[in-house]
Amino acid sequence: MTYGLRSGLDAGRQRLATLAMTAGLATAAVGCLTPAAERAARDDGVGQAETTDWQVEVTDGLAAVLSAEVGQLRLWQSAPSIEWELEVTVATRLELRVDNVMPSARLRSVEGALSFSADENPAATSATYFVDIPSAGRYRLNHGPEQSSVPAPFRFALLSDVQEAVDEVRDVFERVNQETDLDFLLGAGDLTEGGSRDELQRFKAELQVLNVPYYTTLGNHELGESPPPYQELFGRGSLSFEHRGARFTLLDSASAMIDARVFGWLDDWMALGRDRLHVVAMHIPPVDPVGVRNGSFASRAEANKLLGRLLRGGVDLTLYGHIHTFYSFENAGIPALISGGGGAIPQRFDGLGRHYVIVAVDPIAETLTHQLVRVD
Amino acid sequence: MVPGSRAHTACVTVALTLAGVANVRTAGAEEVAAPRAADSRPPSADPAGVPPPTPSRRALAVAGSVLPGVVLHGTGAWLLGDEDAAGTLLLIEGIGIGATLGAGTGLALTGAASATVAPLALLAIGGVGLFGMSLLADIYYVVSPRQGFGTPQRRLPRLESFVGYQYVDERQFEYEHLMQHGVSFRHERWSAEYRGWHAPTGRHARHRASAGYRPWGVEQSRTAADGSFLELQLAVGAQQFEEEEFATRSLEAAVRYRVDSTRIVPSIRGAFAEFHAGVAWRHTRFDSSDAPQDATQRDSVLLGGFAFGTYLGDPFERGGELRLYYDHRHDDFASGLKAEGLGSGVAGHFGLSGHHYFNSLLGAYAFTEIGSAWVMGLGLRMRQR
Repeated sequence: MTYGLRSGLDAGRQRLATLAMTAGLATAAVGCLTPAAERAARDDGVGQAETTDWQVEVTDGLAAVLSAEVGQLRLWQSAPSIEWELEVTVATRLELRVDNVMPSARLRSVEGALSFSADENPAATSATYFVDIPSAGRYRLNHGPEQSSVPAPFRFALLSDVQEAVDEVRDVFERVNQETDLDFLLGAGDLTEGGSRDELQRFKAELQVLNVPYYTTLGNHELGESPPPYQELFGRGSLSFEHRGARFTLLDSASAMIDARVFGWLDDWMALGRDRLHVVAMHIPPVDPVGVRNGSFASRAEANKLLGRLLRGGVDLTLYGHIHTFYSFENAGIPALISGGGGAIPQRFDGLGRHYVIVAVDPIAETLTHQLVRVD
Repeated sequence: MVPGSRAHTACVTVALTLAGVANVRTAGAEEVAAPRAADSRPPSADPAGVPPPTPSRRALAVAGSVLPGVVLHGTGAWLLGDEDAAGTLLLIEGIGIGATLGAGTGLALTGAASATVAPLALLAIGGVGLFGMSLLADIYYVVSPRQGFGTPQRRLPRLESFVGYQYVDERQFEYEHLMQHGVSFRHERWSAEYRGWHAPTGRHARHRASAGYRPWGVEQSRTAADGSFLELQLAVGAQQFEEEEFATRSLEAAVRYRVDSTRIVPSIRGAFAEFHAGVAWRHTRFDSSDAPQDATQRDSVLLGGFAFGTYLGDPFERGGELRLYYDHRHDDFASGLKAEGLGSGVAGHFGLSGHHYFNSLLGAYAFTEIGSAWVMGLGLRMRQR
């Protein structure tokens, strides 16, 4: 007498069981192939809002609409200079608040005649205006420093991977404030530990200490909730802007990949940055300098696809976070920096604690240099 | 130390977790007296001394192997009255959990430092593998016949070849449909293998050639006690992405270890566990009129993984094997697993593969994998002894 299920699991049923397992594996798997697709789709909607009296569309989605009500509009800038279109159905007065701005930023009317006055006591990185719109119609406004469109040398700093160390980030920001002539702070992701709305708001509150704005993309630690609230509060995960003759492109690689939709945008951004200095930043690097660690893309083939695009686009410098130390290396011959020194659990045995990196950009001489600054 | 005892099992599994493989030579391949190697003849006595269960007891054991078996591995075996098997599986589970937690703690404390990340990652892979295999072994034990679903191939054929079709659902690349083919040649303890993949559209090709040596276990020239083996492997690879204008060459070194289930738990027959570990060094060249002449990329990939499988039927006539596996490499067609949330890209890919020979000459294979891409393939196999 045999026991077990052999009488039930004959060869035919074995094959059926195998096929069922295979189908189950496959079915469950298909949904995991494009984890960044929804975020990329939401990027398209960043910077757009409407009320009963007006609707706003920020060009290239370079600002998040934090609030839009009749009589009030609040934006969070993702770039030094932004432009937006206001389509108004009735004459109105608008209280406009713009956060995360360079201290020298000013509001300008590009199209349509309207008047505005500025708050008499602006904060370092916030500006408030009262805009009088005389009639229904289409208006175009710009907010940023005048010199943003004039090629000239400038400096910015790279700071990423704060995560659970948000309680101690203030002294890092105060150290950054001691730097002279920094135009902005650039972030390569992992602002928070879990990406919740409360954590993101807390991080924003800490940013008030800074004298310069913080332009950033998201990291994998911003993906703790579904859908992640990052884009509502900070703007697009993938974006591109120009400042003082240099192009900056930030890509959403938080899911260890670049979504196909983002690859489509990338071709246009590469074309815009071809004849000038072009800096590309993202959170997870395509290839980890320590290959066996694989703190990098899920697929090496996809990583090489991205590197090939950056190479053909003539990118001059790539900046990454995710790895909690500092590396200066090359990917496919493109200079690369990894700086994850915002305070998250540091990589040991490298003698490096919290830090940031200052990058000096000279679009006229077409040079980029960097300097590591230790906080601890 | 008696093979099959818990002390023996603990030593074997600790050795496995330390390196992903263990050069275990518990005895000569044909000198193992106990546990009895699975063969085509049913044993005259149940080594565990367990009486056959009633159908209701069997059903309870199946349910128990899942709940609470997913937490307490070996519950199914215990419900069937095999306390030795249950204890061994629970011990393996504990070692797996310990190894995984230890590796995770180490990675957190070191911040994934470059000097320690590779051995800690392999320890984590080994720990997860032991945990998974003790669970699967318990489930296998309660659903399989007393002798298992089949017996291992105790002597390898001199020549094996395959040809088939592979589908790749990789959203980032154009290639989808590939022809795959390969041949393996074995002489005594040595082996040489070639595998190729070609996409008729999508302009993609891949080649891999490997050489292996088995200092222990089943090989071509003599009959082994069971299907267990230890293999050292060197491989070279080339992959051409014409659409994306880059090509990668690689050199790999790896160790692969398979142990038949009877060597660990004598009453679990017809199953096996595998571990492998190694490293691949890669060189990628970017070809484009817009790229600098010296546009290259050098990097490395950690190789590691585990599998649990069952033998099917008679290895010399109608039979084969079925394998559920995890592979940590991030440069294969399936590559690393993408996921919603924080952990996308960390893990490698999972797969299910099987082959079955219809007679002494001809058979078929099929597999599916999920990582960055969903991959599936099927085709024909041939062998010559």
